[in-house]
Amino acid sequence: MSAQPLPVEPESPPEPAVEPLLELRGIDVYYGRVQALRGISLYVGKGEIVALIGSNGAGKTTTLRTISGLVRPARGEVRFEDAPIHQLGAEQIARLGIGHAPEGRRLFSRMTVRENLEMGAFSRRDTRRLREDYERVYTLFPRLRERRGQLAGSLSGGEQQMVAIGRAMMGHPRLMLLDEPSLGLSPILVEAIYQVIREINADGTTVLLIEQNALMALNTARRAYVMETGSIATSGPASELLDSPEVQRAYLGM
Amino acid sequence: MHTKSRLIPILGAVALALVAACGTSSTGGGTTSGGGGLAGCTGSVTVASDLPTSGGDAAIGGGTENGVRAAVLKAQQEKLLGGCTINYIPKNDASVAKGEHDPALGAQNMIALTTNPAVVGVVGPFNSSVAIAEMPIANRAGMLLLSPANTNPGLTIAGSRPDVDTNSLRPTGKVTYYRIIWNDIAQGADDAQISYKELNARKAYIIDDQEAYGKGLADFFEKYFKQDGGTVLKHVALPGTTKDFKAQLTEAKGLGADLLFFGGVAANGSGIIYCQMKDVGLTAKYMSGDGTVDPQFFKDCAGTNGDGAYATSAPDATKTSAGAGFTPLYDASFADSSRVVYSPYGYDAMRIVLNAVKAVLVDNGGKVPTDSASFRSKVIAKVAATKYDGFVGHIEFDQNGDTTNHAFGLYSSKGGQWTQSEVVQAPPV
Amino acid sequence: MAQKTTDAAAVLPPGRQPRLDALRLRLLPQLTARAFPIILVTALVGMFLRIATTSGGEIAGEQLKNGLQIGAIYALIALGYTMVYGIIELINFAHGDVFTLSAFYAILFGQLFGFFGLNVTTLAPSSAGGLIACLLLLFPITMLAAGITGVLIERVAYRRLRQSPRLAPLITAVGVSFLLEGVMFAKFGAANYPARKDGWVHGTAFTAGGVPVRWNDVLVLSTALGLMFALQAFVRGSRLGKAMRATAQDRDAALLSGININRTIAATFFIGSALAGAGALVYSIYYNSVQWNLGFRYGIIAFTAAVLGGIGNIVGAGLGGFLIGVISVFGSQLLGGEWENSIVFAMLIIVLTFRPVGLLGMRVPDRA
Repeated sequence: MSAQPLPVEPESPPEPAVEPLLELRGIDVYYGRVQALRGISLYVGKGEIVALIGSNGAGKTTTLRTISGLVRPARGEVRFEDAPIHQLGAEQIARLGIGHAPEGRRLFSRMTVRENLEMGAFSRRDTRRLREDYERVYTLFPRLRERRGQLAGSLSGGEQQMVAIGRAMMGHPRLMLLDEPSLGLSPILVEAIYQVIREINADGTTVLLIEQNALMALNTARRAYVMETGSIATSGPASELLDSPEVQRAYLGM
Repeated sequence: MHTKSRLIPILGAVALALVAACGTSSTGGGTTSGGGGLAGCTGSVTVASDLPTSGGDAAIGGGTENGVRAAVLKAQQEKLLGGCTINYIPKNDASVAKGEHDPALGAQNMIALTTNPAVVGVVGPFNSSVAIAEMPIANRAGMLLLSPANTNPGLTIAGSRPDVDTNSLRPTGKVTYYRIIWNDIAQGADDAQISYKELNARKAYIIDDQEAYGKGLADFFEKYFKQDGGTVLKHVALPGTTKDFKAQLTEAKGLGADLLFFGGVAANGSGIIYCQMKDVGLTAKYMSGDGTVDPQFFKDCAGTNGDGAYATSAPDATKTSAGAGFTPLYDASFADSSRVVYSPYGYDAMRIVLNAVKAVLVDNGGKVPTDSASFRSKVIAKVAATKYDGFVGHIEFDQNGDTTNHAFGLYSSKGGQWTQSEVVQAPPV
Repeated sequence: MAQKTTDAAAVLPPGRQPRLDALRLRLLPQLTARAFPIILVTALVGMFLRIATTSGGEIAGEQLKNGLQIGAIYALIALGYTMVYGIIELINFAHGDVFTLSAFYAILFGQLFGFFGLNVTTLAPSSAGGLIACLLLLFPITMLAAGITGVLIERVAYRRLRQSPRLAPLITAVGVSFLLEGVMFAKFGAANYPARKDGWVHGTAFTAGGVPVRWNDVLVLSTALGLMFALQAFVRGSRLGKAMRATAQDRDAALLSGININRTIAATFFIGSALAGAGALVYSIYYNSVQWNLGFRYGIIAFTAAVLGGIGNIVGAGLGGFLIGVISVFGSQLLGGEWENSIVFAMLIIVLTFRPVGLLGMRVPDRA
């Protein structure tokens, strides 16, 4: 298998190995007259970690923003738990259980760490489970417990990334979208963040993540999609992509 | 400059009507009746008026026009011009577009009247802004314009107002515009004299509303108050939108002012200032001009808070001995409720025009002159030489066309009304 | 690299350009951040002393009180400007007219009560209890009506334009302002409209240092201060308040957190307008008359106050309101009342030039 070119079937993705939690079918997105996404189709199975890799401007972030409802697709369908969600508002999608740690972290910089986490739990009323989730975040990121009264804008880059992920976790999502969680972090911090991502996944949260650091992503993910200029170039199990000479050449610098 | 709001009929005038209605049997006008050698006169003479009689000016302009009509009716009844008939053309310079007096419409009216060769004289206009538009047209046509109400000194006295080019209003160089009401120079001098002599004020703090009328009046007040020997502590000009004068009034208190003079119209703060004086504890006397004699004053400073302010305005002629006969004369033809302070001014203005016409006819051997231009110029010459005792008092004109009669009503506020306490003769200026 | 001559390098010796940038970007803001409040306070104290030496300390004290009282009204209006700007970066030009309209509401509600047999114009001046009852009735109902007006304006005029270039909602705001003024002009006329609140709040409450402070000064100041602190507590502590701050700081991130942006922005308009409504009620009691075009001047001065304090900052707007009030009163005694508007706008220009973030404007690195 690995010697042959990987199947590219954007219109009909391969039959899911597990029950799909999220599915994109033929998504087209335009920014004004510029087409950003061309017929994106992908799925994320329950409990999976799926990576979306590709170079700058390939459309990875746009894909995540489309899933979250920040961008409206011109054509195609986004299905979450087998129901279409692409007509819903972003805040409604968030309430369905999709947590999104966006590109550039997008913290509420003039609010404290604690308030940022609170905002992540904005739509929740279940106070007991909420307290457990704070505890979970503070356990995963002990630094945030120390700094919970500090303004988010005053934190270091790594700490801000922790807040971004923690905030997305606070919605107790079934699916987490992580946009470049390793960007700008030291290798040690990258390893730590990815350790947390694995732990979150082990707790039962499905993860769709974007990375330019393809090696890290492919080592963590079960499956991966490779994007090029707004469409999916190739996809498959992460281990196979790691071995693919094309992927190695283009994204792993080998 | 007259604005609509400061010409709202004085409440006192209405109340007074009831008293005066029981009044005298004087025929009024101090004129001779009868044709006076014009019994053989044939033909007709046409006079006109131009006043704002609709929209926001309907009450004040309409009441003034009624005074003009009363004069025409009276002259027709007593056959002032003998066998000749008097035709009267009333024009309205309030446009639908502006909802009040409109200089553009006034100019149109004046063109229509001056190009009608039958018309020999016009009473009007009411507002100084309209006068500025009409005066050059009437002047070029050699047509008499006799205003019952304009008070802007710039209309007659060159150089008296920076915003009015008096000479451009009389392009032929001849005076063809007259008025039977004082101008604001006289009012400023009068206000200063009353403040100094009657209210015993020595230190004045002046506020004006930055508008042509208010600033002009305040400037003249300042000039004459200083001449009288008073001190002007400060003169501030505040925009008409100002609603909070406490900073100025507190300053006036600190400076020890014993008089606050406001040059402006009621809509721009007359009553607000008076009430805020009490708020900041400024116990100075309050003096203002005819723009303040307006019911609006009591909307802004209601109840007993509004008592005790002073302001000058056109005297209520019906309260004087000369004018006592006006009310029955007016009421014979018009509803008393429509009568305004300017009604007797309208009457006297038209009577002066008709008296001048009569004198021209007499000079012409009892015949109507055939040449329109020379008829008009002769009417003007007769008006210039007027010596007339009317309802509003004795009227003569100076070389500028201003009346030499500087009678003012001194009004004081009490119980939500402006009441004329006396008629004051202003000092010559 | 030596051959590469940029324009800047042609004028400046090598190495100078970055240093100039550092001066402009780092040093100047730091300098103005420290110096600006000091200069402002020094100027205020200087003006106060100047008035005290020429007119006496009591007059200076009274002018300070006058400034704080009018400043309290500016502050209540400025809060709405700053909240709306903070959340959608719109200078809501209609806000001053919402203030005026609310003053008319306060008058009309008084008449409406009269229609149902409760004569507030006689009840309020009758006794302290009657006055408090009237205030307790009028405050909530006026603020509610003002708030609903603000929400309607946002819904009808601004929401659809939220994604448009910023000029579009700005022009719309000017349009709404004209519309409201036109409606008020047509309905209530050109002249001052009497509020019929004569003698509602009167008498001297106390004398501080020879300065008599009247009850209506107390009413205006305590309303402004009370609502300011209530608002601050609300925005700091409540769920909705936090949602407002989150939306103001990053709308996308707020959406991703499940915050309903439309509802949050509507709530911001509601609260900002309700505060203007409270300001309008105390204004109508204090000044006892309202004019259709009042909002233009008050709105623009309040906007200046918001900029002075640091637009988007609630405490800043309150502080800016009081400062502008005092500066304009002091300035109009020292320079003459005709300069009052010039003084206010000179302040605006100085602030925008030397300290665009305002007195309490914060500069936290957004995405470090």
